[in-house]
Order: sequence, then C-alpha cells, then structure tokens
Amino acid sequence: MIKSSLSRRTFLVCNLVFLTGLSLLCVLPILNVLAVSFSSAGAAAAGEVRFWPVDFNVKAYEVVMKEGKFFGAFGMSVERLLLGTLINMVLCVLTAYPLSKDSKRFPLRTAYAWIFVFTILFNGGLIPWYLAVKQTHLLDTIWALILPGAVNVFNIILMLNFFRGLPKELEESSLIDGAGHLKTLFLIFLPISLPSLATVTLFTMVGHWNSWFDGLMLMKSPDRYPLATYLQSIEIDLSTLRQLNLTDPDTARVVSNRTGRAAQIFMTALPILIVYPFLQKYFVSGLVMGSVKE
Amino acid sequence: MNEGEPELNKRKSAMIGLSVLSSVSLALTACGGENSSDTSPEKPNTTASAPNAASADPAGKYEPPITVHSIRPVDSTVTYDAGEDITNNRWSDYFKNELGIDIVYDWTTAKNDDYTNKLNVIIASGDKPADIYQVNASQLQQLADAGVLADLNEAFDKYASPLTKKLMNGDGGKSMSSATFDGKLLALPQGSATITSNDVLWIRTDWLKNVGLSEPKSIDDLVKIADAFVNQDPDKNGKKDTLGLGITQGPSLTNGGVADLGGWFAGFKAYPDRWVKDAAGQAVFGSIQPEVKQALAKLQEMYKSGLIDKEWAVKDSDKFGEDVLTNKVGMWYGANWNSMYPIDISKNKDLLQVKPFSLVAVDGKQPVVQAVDPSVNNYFVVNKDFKHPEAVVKLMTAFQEKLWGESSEFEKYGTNANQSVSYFKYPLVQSWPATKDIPDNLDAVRAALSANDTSKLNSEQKGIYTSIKAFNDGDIVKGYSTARQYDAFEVIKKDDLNNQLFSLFYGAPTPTMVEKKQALDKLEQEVFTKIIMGAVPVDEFDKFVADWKKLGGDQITQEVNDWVASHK
Amino acid sequence: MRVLKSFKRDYTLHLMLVPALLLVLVFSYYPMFGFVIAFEKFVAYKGFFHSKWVGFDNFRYIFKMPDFLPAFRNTAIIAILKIVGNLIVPIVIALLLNEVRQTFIKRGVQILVYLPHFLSWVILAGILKDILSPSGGIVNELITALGFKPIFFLGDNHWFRFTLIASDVWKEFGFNTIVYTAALTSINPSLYEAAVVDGASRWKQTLYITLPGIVPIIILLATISLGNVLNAGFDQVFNLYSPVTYSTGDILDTLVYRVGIVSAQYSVSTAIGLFKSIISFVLICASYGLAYRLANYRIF
Repeated sequence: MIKSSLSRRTFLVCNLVFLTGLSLLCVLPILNVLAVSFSSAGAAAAGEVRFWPVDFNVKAYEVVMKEGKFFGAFGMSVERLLLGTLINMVLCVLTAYPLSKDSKRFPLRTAYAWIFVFTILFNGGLIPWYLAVKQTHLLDTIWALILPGAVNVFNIILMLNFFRGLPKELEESSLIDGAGHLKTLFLIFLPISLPSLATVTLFTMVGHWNSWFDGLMLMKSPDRYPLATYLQSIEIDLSTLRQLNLTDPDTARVVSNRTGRAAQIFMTALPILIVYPFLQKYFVSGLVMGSVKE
Repeated sequence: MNEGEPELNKRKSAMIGLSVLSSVSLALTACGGENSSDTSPEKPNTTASAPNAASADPAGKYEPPITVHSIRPVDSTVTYDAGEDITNNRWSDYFKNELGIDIVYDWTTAKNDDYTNKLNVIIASGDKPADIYQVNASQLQQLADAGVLADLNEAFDKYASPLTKKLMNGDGGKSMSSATFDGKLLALPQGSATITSNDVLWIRTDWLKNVGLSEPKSIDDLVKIADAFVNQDPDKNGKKDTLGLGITQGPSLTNGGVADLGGWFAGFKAYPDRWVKDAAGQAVFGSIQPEVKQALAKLQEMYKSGLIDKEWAVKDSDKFGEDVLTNKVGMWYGANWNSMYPIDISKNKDLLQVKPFSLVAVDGKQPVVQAVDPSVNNYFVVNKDFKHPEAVVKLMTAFQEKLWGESSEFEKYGTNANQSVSYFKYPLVQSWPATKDIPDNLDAVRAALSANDTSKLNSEQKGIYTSIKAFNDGDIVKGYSTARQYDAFEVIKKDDLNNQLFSLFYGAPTPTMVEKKQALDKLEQEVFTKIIMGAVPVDEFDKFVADWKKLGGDQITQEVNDWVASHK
Repeated sequence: MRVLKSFKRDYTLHLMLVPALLLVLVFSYYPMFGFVIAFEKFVAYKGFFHSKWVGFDNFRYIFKMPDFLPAFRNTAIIAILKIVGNLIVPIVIALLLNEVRQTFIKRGVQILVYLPHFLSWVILAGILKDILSPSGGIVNELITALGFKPIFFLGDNHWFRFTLIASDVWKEFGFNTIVYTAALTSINPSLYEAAVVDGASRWKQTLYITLPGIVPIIILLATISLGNVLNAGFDQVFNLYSPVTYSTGDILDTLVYRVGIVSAQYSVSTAIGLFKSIISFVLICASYGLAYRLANYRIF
C-alpha cells in the first residue's frame, strides 16, 4: 500500500468533516420531529421544541394507536408491503432481463422498451384509473394496492442498465452449458446483481409503505386503509374547522396537531429505517467480481 | 326536573298526536325533556290519507323495513361509547326500530376532503353513489343539471314535522331556496348557524392595562393600541419583541377564521368577497368597492409604521398560534372559537387575560356589522330511482325531534353527561337550528348561571354550564375556552343579532365563476397583499378594479344578479 | 425472416415480458381513454363519451389564462434547476462517500442523508419557516453575523425559487446517492488495481475510471428526470408559496389546483396533464435519439 500523501490525507479529513456536517444537517430536522412527537401539544404549538422533547409524553402515539384501527392498518400495510414487493421485484427482473439484451440479439426489444416508457409519461387520469380497478373487480381488495403499480418502469430501467453492465460472457457460458434464459436470470445474473437488487427493493418497499392515495380511493372503509392512508386521514385542517363552525373542543384539539403529524412521520419512517441497514450492506461494501476472467 | 304539569301535558299530547303515534312507548320522562327552543305552534294534521297508512305518517314506520344505501365522511372527532360504531349505535337503533329504516354505508372516509374527492370520482365514473348521501353546493349543481335527483317538495310538505319546517326555514328560507332548482326541491340543506361565524376582536387585557389604554371604540383607537403594543413593551419583559395587529397569510378577507381581516374591513363598511347591494339595488362584489381601498390604505400605513408583523404574509394560523402562545401578539380579529384554537390555555396561563371585544369602525360608530355568508356547505340528496324519497325527510324530522322537539332526549341522543362523546354526530341526515348557539344556548346558559338553576338545560347546555361555572370558580384550564367563547357569543349577540347582514349570493358557482373566479381571487390576493406591504401604492387598487371587471368580473356580476332575481 | 428465426429461438424472452405487458395494458393503456376528456366539456354524469366535444377549447382556455404564462415559465425554470441540482449533488456526494475508508461512517452517512426523504412538505414547511425567518431564524442569524442584511427567503421573489430548489435537493439527494453508490460498487476493482500499478493518483482514477463507470447511470437518471421537466413539485410549492411569491412560485400544478377548488374541472386538469406529457415525451425522444446517434448508446 502506497503511503498516502499529505494532500490526500488532508482531503480525507476534510471529506469526513464535510460529510459529517452534511449528515448532521439532514438528521437535525428528524430529531426535531421526533422530539415534537414526544412533546406536549402546547409546547409544540408554541414552537418551543428544538431537539429534545418538552413535557415528555406519549399521547400523540396513544391517540394514533387507539381503537385498534392502527394495528389493522399496520397489518394491511405489512401484507401489502411483502406481497407487493415480491411481485414488483419478480416482474422487475423478469422484464429487465429481456430488455437488457442487445437489439441485434433480441429484435423488438426497443419497441417493447418504448411501450413501457410511454406509460410513465402518459397518464390517463384519476377517473379512468379508478374505473380500471373497478372493472377488474379489484376494488376493496389488497390486490388493488398491488397490481396497478406492480410494473414500475423506473425500476425496470434501472435494473436493465445494471444487467447490461454485467459481462456478456456470463450469459454466453450459461447458455453453452445448456441453461435456458430463466435459469440464467435467476441462477447466474441475480446473485451477482445484489447491489442493484437491494437498491430497487428498497425503493419498492418505501413506495409501498408510503403510498396513501390508492388506499384512500380504492378501499371502501377506513377499516381497510393501509397505514399511510390511515395516518393522513386522522388530521383535520383549518378549512374543515371553518366549515364545521367549530363549537366543540374535540375538533380544536385535533386541528393544530403538530405532535400527531410528527408521530405520524416517525411511525411511517421507522420500519423503513429498520429494514434499511440490512439492505444497505449490499450496496455499500461492493461485490466480488471473481467469477469471470477478463 | 319537571314532573307532570297537567296543562303542559295536555298541550303536549295534542302535538304528540300529530307526530309520534306508535313509537312513544319509549320512556319519555318529562324530566330532561324540556328544552329551551320554542315549541312549535299547533298545526292541523297534514298527512293526507295515503295508500300505505303507516308510512304516510311522518313518523310512521316502514313495514316492511327499508334499506337505505349511503356513504359519508366520518371524521376522527366522532367518538363512541363502548360497543357502538357508525353502523350500530343508539341513533341507528332508533331509526331501525321506530322508523323501519336501516342505513347501510357502502363506504366511508375519515376526512371531508377525501369524501368530496372520492364522491367526485364516483360521480365522474358514471356510478350511482348511493340512495341518500351528502354533497356540497357544486356537486349539487352538477347532479341537478344531470337530472338524477329526486324532487322532495311533496315529501317535505307531507312528512316534515312543524318543528322541522320551522327549523329548516329558520334563516328566512335562504338555505331551502339554495336547494331549489326550477321550483324543485332537490336536496335538504344542512343548516348551521350563520352569525356565529362573525369575528370579534381578541385583545390581551393585561397588555392594555400595562400600556394604560382601554377597549378600542374606533379604528383610530385600535391603531393607537397597536402602536402601544409594539413600542411600549406591553409584556414587560424589557424587549421590543411584540407585535401590533395580528394577521395571517392569505390574506383572509372574510370572517370566521384566525387573525383574518373580515372584522377590520367591516369597520370601514367594506365587505370583500361578499355580494352587497349598491345604491341602485343591484348586487355588486364587495371587493371592488371604494371602501375597501380606504381599509387597505390604513393597513398599509400600519405596516409601514411597523404595527404589523413583517412576516405576516407567510404565516398560517399554526405559525400565528406560536406567536400567541409565546406572548408575541396581543390583538387580532378572529372567530368565537379562537379561545380553543390557537389559544391553548394549558400552555400559557397568561392568555387568561385575552378577551373578546366588539368590532370598531373608522367613524367610531358601533355596532359594526359584518356580512355573513349564508351559503350552505352540505346538502342531503336522494337518488331519483330510490323508491322512498320521503325517508330523507323522516330522518331529518326524527333527528330534530329527538334533540329539540317535544320528545327530545338530549342526554341519550345529544351528548353524554360530560360532553366527551357527541351522539348527535351519528345520524346521516342533520340540520341545526340557525339560532342554536346565539341566542338559544347563550341565553339558556346565562340564565342558568345567574339563577344557579340547571333545570331548564338540555345536556349540551349543561355541559357548557358546567365548564363556565368551573371557570368562574377558578378552574381556568377546564373552563377557559368555553367561557371565553360564550363571552364572544355575547359580543356577537349584542352587535349582530338584530342587524344581520347577509351576502346576496349563496348558490353554487355560476358558469363564469367556474371558469374565471380562481384567477380573479388570486389577483385580489396578490394585489391586496402587495398594497398592505407597501410594495405597490394604494392606487393600484383602482387598476385592480378595472382588471377584475375586464377579466370576467362583469360577467359574473350579471350572473349573480340573475340568480338573485330568480331566488327572491 | 430474421425476426421470425430469432422469435423461435427466444420465445422465452418474449414470454418473460408477458406478465408486465398484461398489467401495463390493463392499468396504464386502457385508462388512457381518459385523455378524451381533454377535448370535451366533461360533465360527470354524461360520462366520457357523451360529454360535449369541444376540440381544443380547453387548451385555448388554459393558454389564455392570465396566469398561465408565468406559471409555465416558473414551472420550467424551477423544474430544470431542480433536475440539475438533483443530478450534480448526489453524484458529488456519492463520489465523496466512495473515498471514505471507514465502512461504518460510510453506512452511517448514507442512512442519515436519506432521512429527509421521509419528511412531508407540510412538516418541512413549518420547519423552513422557522429557520429561514428574517427575524430570529437560524440561517439569518448566521447571515447577519457575517455582516449582511437578513434575507426573507420565503417572501422575497429574488430568493424564493432558490429556496425551493435548495430545499428540494436537500430533501431528495439521499435517494439518488443510493443509486450512484450502488453503481459505483459495480465498477470492476481490477480496473483500480491496474491504475494504481500505473501510478495514477486518486483524482486521476476518479476522472478516468469512476466517472466513466457511472456515466450510463447518470445519463439514465438525467433522461428519466426529463420526464419530470414540468413537474415542479406541487406539494412543496403549495406549502411554501403565498401571494407574495405567486409571481415566481406559482406553477402549473398549483394553478390547476386553484381551478379545481371552485369545481372539479377534470377537463382542464387532464388537458394540462396531456400538455405536460407531450412535452416530456418529445424531450425524452430527443435525448434518446441523440444518445443513440452520437454515441451509439441506448439509454433504455
């Protein structure tokens, strides 16, 4: 190992300082939100909470988790997450693999690719989307939350680019050994595509976990909402206040619900943050590319 | 606790005779049944003989029972006793057992906005939403145009009790008229109090004392107070960190909010965003009248002198609330419920000293009257194909009867004893007396407080009484918000009850409004904001008026006048 | 003939595409009939195919709106600057991260910078209003400490767009950094080893190995983000703008939102959506074509 020069070492130190500062900048607002969620409504409303809870209490979380609706919604979200991520990922690699081939090798692939890309540019609108779900009899089922979004073209494109980066010899030798495309994909390509797989899996999970609008439109009752929909539905905003001609303190209590909103953010983020480190090791530590001799 | 009073009982049975025949075996103890709203005058039995005798009776039961499919928003403030939920509760039992009506909710949402969006999507996708459901004014207009709603005229005539007829027309017939298209009553409006939404002036009396000033009687007084609040350290903390007149972003030009300007403009006889009569008797838009310019000029002066927060334009009511809670602002216009939000007495006990005052005028004359918007936010409609349109009237009648009628049982159907659960939120079809808060509840509670006698109060009023009494006895955290709210009601009653001023237009948006109003509103907000902040001179207002007229305002004015003429 | 021959050989490949194609047909292509209401005066109960046909009237209405041109200009400026910011910053950060030797710190930084992604604009708006306040906000305290006058970031038309872009980049750069980091790990380490043997400095390695190694991903992300060239970020703008900043902050989406407040005008919002889609489509076609002709490189 060559000894690093002074400038190199200076750079590394500055780099560390800079990145640490940046991380701090990013984490402070989260700490603030976390602190607010554990503070009293009054302190939050007065803007007094900085990075530590004021008048520590867990009321915001209690309110959100009362009545068992929270757990039902949580369960729905977990179900959707697991099923949806699996289906998304399978579809993603299944679709990315053929599209990653060269067009000499696989004519028509560019046509297919454009068919998919077209769909992220042109969106027929809310009502036709709703009608499509309705007419396929998926309304109010968990499949309504999974199937319409199961083909994520952005992820497919990411994946196909990663596949393209893999050495061509891999596929050739696999085919020579007599394996078909499916075997090649699942037994050869996937194991060495872990960084991209991890990345796309993470994005897919976050997408499913945070998605609330489809739950709102496609589920019949708040009992079947996924967590994200449930959380955003328990807020009330000022315009509702004016309409309701507020005379009961109930509503007033719910309105400026900074602690509630803060708890909501945190509860939405927490599961993802727990899963993240497990996926992260795949796209940070790199991979061993010893399988192919140049 | 009234036990039998012979004459009263006789009169009672006469009225009961016209409505509740079969169902009265419910324990209608007179105890708690009396309440303060007027009992309806006697009316002859108007139920014509109909083929099905039982259902022809306004409160008659459907045999066999009917099922009504519905949808609705059920927000998170709706709470239940153990074992009850939105589908199974005391009200649904009543409807099922006494009226033979079983309401099934096909879907519900938790927020009003979500309900509106979802309903729009369903209507737009061509589906029938439900048998009976609620809609807003513009959805009503759409559905009316599409011809898919049942005409409720006959049903209302036949099946509405005298109490209901009285309450539904309690605002002079405005709301019923807004639900009428070409002579057909296509919806039942959900009434709510109108003058209750008026502004009052919220001022910190401890600050007033500290700067040696008293309640303002004119705009000039108010400006003096604002100046003192900014420059004379009213919170005595040695720092110049307090604001004058509080306003929030928007700017919110109408009353009924937090730190809005509705009350301010009214002091100049200006009524932005409302439709008022000009000298020729025509309806004109309040925002383009010369009085508005005067009011804006004054605000510009105040901003220049530092009497208005430099950041007001980006502060919403939440942010404004911070200033209230941290002793930064001590004077603002706001609705009666400001004592509940943004004020949080548990956070800052000094806010005890915040009290509501009458609005003030530029010429020093009081009372200052605001123009109230009588628009209805919710209507209940019945699908044309539904075989029992009168069910909606029956549900309304039952709702009002059980709360304010002769057979009312407020503590079973209104709220529970300590007001923590509000049962009255459960029924699908609701409409409130316009006078519920002012003067009904207000008078009842005040009378009870001075006489120390709760016998005449229904359970909602009892809850209010308890809060205010607790406050008077020293428990400020418990009773503050209600006590001050009722102080605000007093102010409004004094100033507005006998001088009510209403916006002339309260229908669904007209065609040109649909096309152009949002652009006009945006222009108005921009120009007014810039004038207040001194970014443009006051005369910019004249250009705004010309632009407004040119960009669609004249057309809209014409349409409004047509509407007013057809809704006399 | 060639096509048929390869078809026989590779029918598996076609089969693999079938599930996704089916789903996309049902849930993306079928709903596209909805575009027809951009050319109609859509009335809900009349339905999609019986509402009155008005041709391009909706588009004329939009383009003639007094606020359209400013909104369009704002949208384009804000969106393009965001694309640039969201491209450059994550690359730089990913490269810097790549230089960090301590895995623990690397992973820590990565997860921390991803956090802002989870904040909603409603909450962030409140936080931003606090720290950017011209009287007492942290940022302005720094500015005045350095001797300058306080800046009203959220209320000054000279600074509003900058604030929008900077806060958005801050919120989302963690997300893109992940993609670049993953791409960086796929670069063959033997390339680096060979370079070190040749005596190349780290900086030269970055220039000649690292950057070229992630160029495909950069171009990909850039192209995809062209699909968003007219999405300036409704949530963010809606929560941060106010009448003071309409002139530089009002975007197409907030315009549509206001139009929809008065009554749900599906025709107008669909027309604007169609307009945005067409522009994005043209841009993506152009970049795809350019990349192919100039560099023989297919972006997707």
